[in-house]
Amino acid sequence: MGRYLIRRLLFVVLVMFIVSLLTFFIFIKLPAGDPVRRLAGSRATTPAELAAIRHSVGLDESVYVQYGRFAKGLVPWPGWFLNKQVYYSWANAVPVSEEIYSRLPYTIALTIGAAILWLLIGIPIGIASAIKRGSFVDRVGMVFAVAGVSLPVFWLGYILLFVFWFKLGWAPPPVYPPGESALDAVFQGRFILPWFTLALTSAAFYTRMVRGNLIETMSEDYIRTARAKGLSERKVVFKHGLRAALTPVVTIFGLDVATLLGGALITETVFNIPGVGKYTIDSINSGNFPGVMGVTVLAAFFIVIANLLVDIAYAFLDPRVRYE
Amino acid sequence: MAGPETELGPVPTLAGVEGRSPRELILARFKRDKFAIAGLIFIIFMILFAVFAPLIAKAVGHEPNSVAFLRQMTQDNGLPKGPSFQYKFFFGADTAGRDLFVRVAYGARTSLTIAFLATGIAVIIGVSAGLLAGFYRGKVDTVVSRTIDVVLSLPILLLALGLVSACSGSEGCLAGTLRPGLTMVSLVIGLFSWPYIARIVRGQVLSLREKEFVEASRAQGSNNARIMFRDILPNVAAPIIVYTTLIIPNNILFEAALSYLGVGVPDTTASWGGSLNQASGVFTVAWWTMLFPGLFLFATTLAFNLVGDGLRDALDPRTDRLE
Amino acid sequence: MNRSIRLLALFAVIALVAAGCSKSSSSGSSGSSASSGGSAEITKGGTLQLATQADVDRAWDPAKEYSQISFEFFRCCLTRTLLSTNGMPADQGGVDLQPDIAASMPEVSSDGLTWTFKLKTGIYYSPPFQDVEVTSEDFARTISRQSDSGASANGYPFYYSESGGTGCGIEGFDAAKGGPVSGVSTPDSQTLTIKLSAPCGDFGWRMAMPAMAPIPPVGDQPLGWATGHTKDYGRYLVGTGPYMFKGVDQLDPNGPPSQEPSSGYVPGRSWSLVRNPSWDASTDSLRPANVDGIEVAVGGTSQVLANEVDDGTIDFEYGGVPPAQQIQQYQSTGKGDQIHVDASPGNRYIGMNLAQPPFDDVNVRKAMNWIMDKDALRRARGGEMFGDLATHWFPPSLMPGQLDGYDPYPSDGGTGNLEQAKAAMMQSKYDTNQDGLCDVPECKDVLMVTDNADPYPKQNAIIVDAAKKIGIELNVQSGDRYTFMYDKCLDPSSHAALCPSVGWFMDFPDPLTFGPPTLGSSAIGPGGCCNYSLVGASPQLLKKAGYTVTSVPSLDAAFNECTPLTGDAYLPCWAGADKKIMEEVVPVIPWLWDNNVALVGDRVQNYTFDGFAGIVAMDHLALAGGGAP
Repeated sequence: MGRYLIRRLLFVVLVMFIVSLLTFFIFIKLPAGDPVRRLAGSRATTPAELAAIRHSVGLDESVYVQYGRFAKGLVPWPGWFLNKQVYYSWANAVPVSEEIYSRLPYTIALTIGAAILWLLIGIPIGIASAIKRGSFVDRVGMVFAVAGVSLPVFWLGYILLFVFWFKLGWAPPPVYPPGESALDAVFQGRFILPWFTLALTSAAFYTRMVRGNLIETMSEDYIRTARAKGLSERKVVFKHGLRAALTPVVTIFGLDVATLLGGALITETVFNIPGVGKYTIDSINSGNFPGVMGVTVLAAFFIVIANLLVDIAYAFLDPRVRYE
Repeated sequence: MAGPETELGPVPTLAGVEGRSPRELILARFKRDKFAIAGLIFIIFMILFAVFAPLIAKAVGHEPNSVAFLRQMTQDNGLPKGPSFQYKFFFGADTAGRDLFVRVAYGARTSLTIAFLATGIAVIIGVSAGLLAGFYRGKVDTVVSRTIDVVLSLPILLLALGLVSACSGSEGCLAGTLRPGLTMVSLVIGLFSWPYIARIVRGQVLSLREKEFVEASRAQGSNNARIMFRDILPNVAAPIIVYTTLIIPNNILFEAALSYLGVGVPDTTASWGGSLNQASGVFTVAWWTMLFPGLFLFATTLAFNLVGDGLRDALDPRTDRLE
Repeated sequence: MNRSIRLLALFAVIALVAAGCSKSSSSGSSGSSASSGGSAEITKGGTLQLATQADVDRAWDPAKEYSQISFEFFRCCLTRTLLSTNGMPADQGGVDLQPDIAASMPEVSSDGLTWTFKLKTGIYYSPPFQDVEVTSEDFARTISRQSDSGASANGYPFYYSESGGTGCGIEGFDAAKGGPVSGVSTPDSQTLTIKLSAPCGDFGWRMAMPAMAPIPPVGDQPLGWATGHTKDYGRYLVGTGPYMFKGVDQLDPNGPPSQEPSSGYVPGRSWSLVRNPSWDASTDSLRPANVDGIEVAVGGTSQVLANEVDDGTIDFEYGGVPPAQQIQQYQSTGKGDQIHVDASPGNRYIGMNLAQPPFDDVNVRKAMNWIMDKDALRRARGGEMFGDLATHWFPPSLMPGQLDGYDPYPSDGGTGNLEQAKAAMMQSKYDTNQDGLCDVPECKDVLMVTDNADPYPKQNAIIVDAAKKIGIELNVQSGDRYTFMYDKCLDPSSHAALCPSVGWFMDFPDPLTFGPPTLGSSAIGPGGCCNYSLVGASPQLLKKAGYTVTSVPSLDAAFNECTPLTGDAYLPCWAGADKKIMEEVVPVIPWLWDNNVALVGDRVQNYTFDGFAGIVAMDHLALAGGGAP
């Protein structure tokens, strides 16, 4: 168990390292335009002034030094992680950590609400479809499922907005007043449409997965044994079938939540939610590289940690896994 | 296996696809799936729509980037007007006063081209990687598998955003080798979607290489390459095809998402996602700018999903999805 | 650096102009909005709730900020200077310089080299310096700070530098490097004497800039309160205006520079202003200061902020342009009086590169002026409300009575004149078969570099279509304004033939500010701005930038003829320059004289347009019922 854990942890480190390298390369080294130009802002600048700005953000140092400074800020060590010396917005000197932490509540609110919804919607439909396989219920469920995975979030969101906010006036406008906390925004109902948008598209996936797993499980030998033993259908399904069918769902669920915590870029853009995802997009557009680095690594961090946790959980639940 | 980014649409799992079902049986089963047939017909229609886009443009008299009808199809304050049969703007005007119907047709070109190209790239890389990993095992497998694991752990939407926007300047990037446009976007998408195929192929190859016919081939003196390409690959073809068809809708949504977020193909190249981006500001007063591009995007993605599902069901008798 | 200060200032403002604030210059076209406090009853009180799309560039340091948004905040609310303006439209004195902290207009010696300012007494700084009276040493201090290149803004010091390229500056400024400036003397605490290196007719304006706001003393520190705040003085700003950043009063005057900054400015999130208790209205005839506080939330897109205005969450978006559908909605629901349209002294134009074929041929440039559908360009911007179609270069408000009705390229409704355009093309060497269309390879794949932010992409198609009508095929490349567009348009070696996403805004009301800074040879990049057309480029520069063209026309002589003139000869000279620009050199296609369009919520009363800054004057606004809910 210990060795397994260590191997997984090493993998986490590897992934984080690669992510940081890639992000650094893609966002800082690759672009053709001079980021210093953007920082200089609207005025014209002499080469001397540009050089001064370049020096003030450390872009005049060698690639290795630059990367090293960024990498240091990615180590989850107090004082190092997203440290203020390197990770501050180049435009207005706000520490990146401050910006991310202040936006995290909105992303968390969005993720949790949507997650609950999609589980509540997706799993029951999947179960019903599996149990009543081939029937009308199954058909409807499958239509819902395949439609849901084909729906773009950045279309469904606008449709819901158009109908429920603009035409019917039932939902509040896609506005998140800065004075209002994320929690207040939840109580004001501002997250309802975003939740449904995200949930409807995700639930479909879980429906398919649960249905497929359950059908497969139910045709397994041990289920037949349970049936032969005379257990009620209900018990067969819920006691034996579901557990096996739902275990993989846990994995996926963990990963999905982790991904969204890293920023539901599209949903936040559609609804103007001031979350981590929106911050990412804004940072990319405004050339705020420390912000982009910070968020990308945070997102990757969530994903690998979720992976790790799920793997650990599996290792506990299923002894066979440990000896892979 | 989780979707790369939940909002992009998840990549479905592939459970137990047999690689050796007789062809007629598969076709027959596929034909029974009415939804899959409908999807296939729609795809063919979409392809025709895309191919004949220039003819369509000529027929209605507007090029996709022309603003010749600006005054007729926009209000005095620049806001677009809706569908008009008089001026043959069947879907109305987009925010710049261009013909939305024609742009949706050209957008089909963009989506389909990128989808096929990106998927093609993903398949080429993925199959190669999977073959090598599954066949040679050992160190090769470790490297490939670790790479797959890492790529699957990356926040791909983010990185794709960065890559595409970095290479969207006029000189492109990598000293001009990657220029902005369809090809570059396809490459980026392909680079992030190959692991799914690689994993499947690897799994199949791992099990296939132990089978008797491989041993027999080896006994006959075939070298590794022959075995890989003549014996193993044909038997992995079925899952590859199925998986490819299932990846395509994801890639369509991926490109549309990139365009929606403002990176991707330039504005002069019509794109469904790009149209949705432009619609986001005016959809309350110009519903058509949002409805039509999104509808086509949804329908096309749906069609590919239906076909993919149909293929998968046809190849795997145990898990009936839709009858 | 050989660029004039005004250039830099204007360059900064262009960004805002482009970012959505339309400033324009025309001679008071559409409905004015400056109700100077006569009509409705004004109740003082309440807090203005605003939002803005982006934060300021330089953290509110007056020595660095040079944008319309920040400039207005300094003038209306945070800092007073020796001279200032009253925040009203041009026809109500908004562009007339008046004494602010100075007791009267300065005395200028007969040789124009010595300016003497006498200060008012009894003007105190905001807490925590409420017992400190403003003295002339405080101004000397701020001039010294400005001479420190670490503390000053990119280009700002050129207003005061002897060698800045404006022809005049404060003596000893360049050598001071943050220390005492030899040309500045304070014979007594109420007198400030400044010696210039050469006569500066507009020096009064330079002393009205926010950079010249006084800095309170601390002990014997040479830079006073600004000591140790080279980069973040804005977060500790102590001024003399009617308002101050919230929390500034909590600062410790004797504390270290590293003490916690005021909470009123949270970078990237909010600006919070409250009343400055030290401000005495009887000493300030320029600012009514009706509201008690101003809260500005930073962030959001034009659409989002428009929703917030509709929602009542904010009173208006500061520094942005309301989306067309919101304007339409308000007009159709009887709320048209909440929309304010004011002429604003700026223009928008398309720059043509004189050294890049086919635009090296003046006949082609004329043809472009003929063919351009200016009305469509304006439509893409939002329609007639957004300004008058430009017919010549200098905005009419800067040239009163000079060029009225002058339209060298008239067309029906400004939509372009195909016949005349073709006729012009036929005179060009690039029309070999005389059919009015360009038919040589130089007319294919012509590079046009544009901004990719709204509304420029909409305009690209219009320009492409127009050019096609005379046989020119454009290759449009669009990208980010700063990292792409300015780079290309200001770098001669990029060979960009057309730069259409540009505009200009006056620095102060003088046609000179539209001359050398945009079309003078010293304004050619890179590193300089904003002569995109390479007017006046030397043969060496052209060769170095890889052009086959060896010489281009110049306007330097025409401008130099006008700059030293005074009195009645001044404006007619510039009118002549305009004609030269439009008919002989033709480096640009001006298409719009901007209007500033603002949409305010129903709480806002007494909307006043600051004709100098080209934006709403918050010191004049009031809230209905004093802000009571």
